[in-house]
Amino acid sequence: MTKPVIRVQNSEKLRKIALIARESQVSTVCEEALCPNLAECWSSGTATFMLMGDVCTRGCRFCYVKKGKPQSLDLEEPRRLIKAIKEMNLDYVTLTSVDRDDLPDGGASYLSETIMMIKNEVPNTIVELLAPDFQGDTSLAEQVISAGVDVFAHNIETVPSLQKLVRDNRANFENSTLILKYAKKRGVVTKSSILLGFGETQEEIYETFRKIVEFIDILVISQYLRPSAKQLPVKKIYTEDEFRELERKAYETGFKAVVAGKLARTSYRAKEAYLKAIQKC
Amino acid sequence: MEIKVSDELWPRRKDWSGEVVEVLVKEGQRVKKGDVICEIEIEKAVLQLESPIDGIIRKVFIKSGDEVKPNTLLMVIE
Repeated sequence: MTKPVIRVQNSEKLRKIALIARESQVSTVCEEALCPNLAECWSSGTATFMLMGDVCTRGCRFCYVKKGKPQSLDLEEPRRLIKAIKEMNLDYVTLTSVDRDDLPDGGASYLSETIMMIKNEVPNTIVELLAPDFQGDTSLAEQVISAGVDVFAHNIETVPSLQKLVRDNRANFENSTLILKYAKKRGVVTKSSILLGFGETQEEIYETFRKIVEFIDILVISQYLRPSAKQLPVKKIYTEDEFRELERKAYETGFKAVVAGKLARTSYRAKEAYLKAIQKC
Repeated sequence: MEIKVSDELWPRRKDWSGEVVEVLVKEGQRVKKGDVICEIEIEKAVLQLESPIDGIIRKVFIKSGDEVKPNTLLMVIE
């Protein structure tokens, strides 16, 4: 099995962004997931913020984010986030969050207020939200959409047959597709990621493409890499040729933008994918 | 200059570890800034660490198979 090789450089830009991220005290999914792209993204001025703390109420079996009882919401976080966005000079911000099933609205009001603040204070910033499934409640999805997100992302993570194995028991293909369909109907750009390497078959992947294409604009196809021995083992590492074939197939199926590769992640090269998608919307 | 496993790879997540795959330099060897000095395998990837300066390797503290963590001292370059 071949793991991706990451060159660790000594970059001043990286150090600067790391300092801003640290001082902002806003978590980043780049760090929490031990993302191998961190150096590349941060050096080029992109970071994905993780809101509402760094402890998730769910226990998806591929994910490295800490799990357990989350902290209470930090109402100063949006202010610090905006400061970080300004200092990092970002024009495309990707926001994600831990799942907060402990909150009555799953964090929808907090997320929507944060998005509105960003849109108010840094108006030219494009905002992508990698949203929770809100347990399939479209009225909660509506809150964050009407706050002004440009890209509504939510990950189906894997093919339908492996949902139970890979994701937390509270997550499922039906709830995920419900809120994504709703977002599409509301006219925002939609995005979803599928991780490969859990044991899915090629036909299952293609079948999933066909199932989601009518409501997904941007598709991310990436390799599952086990963060530590506590997560699911990797069943298969896809080759670069296989990713190119999947990308071709995805475009043929009708997605407007496709980001495919071993190190592709939901927010990886997000701005480029967005610009490509809106040309075709 | 002491060369350590960077704790800036994931600045606020320091609970990861890896295994030295290969040490690509020897004591006494001259290196240039940007040369790969060792490879460390973590669960998600293989990290190729670059030398931050031009210099001579004075001391190597690691060998293949060693477990390393953020801030583990790897070598001294002068």
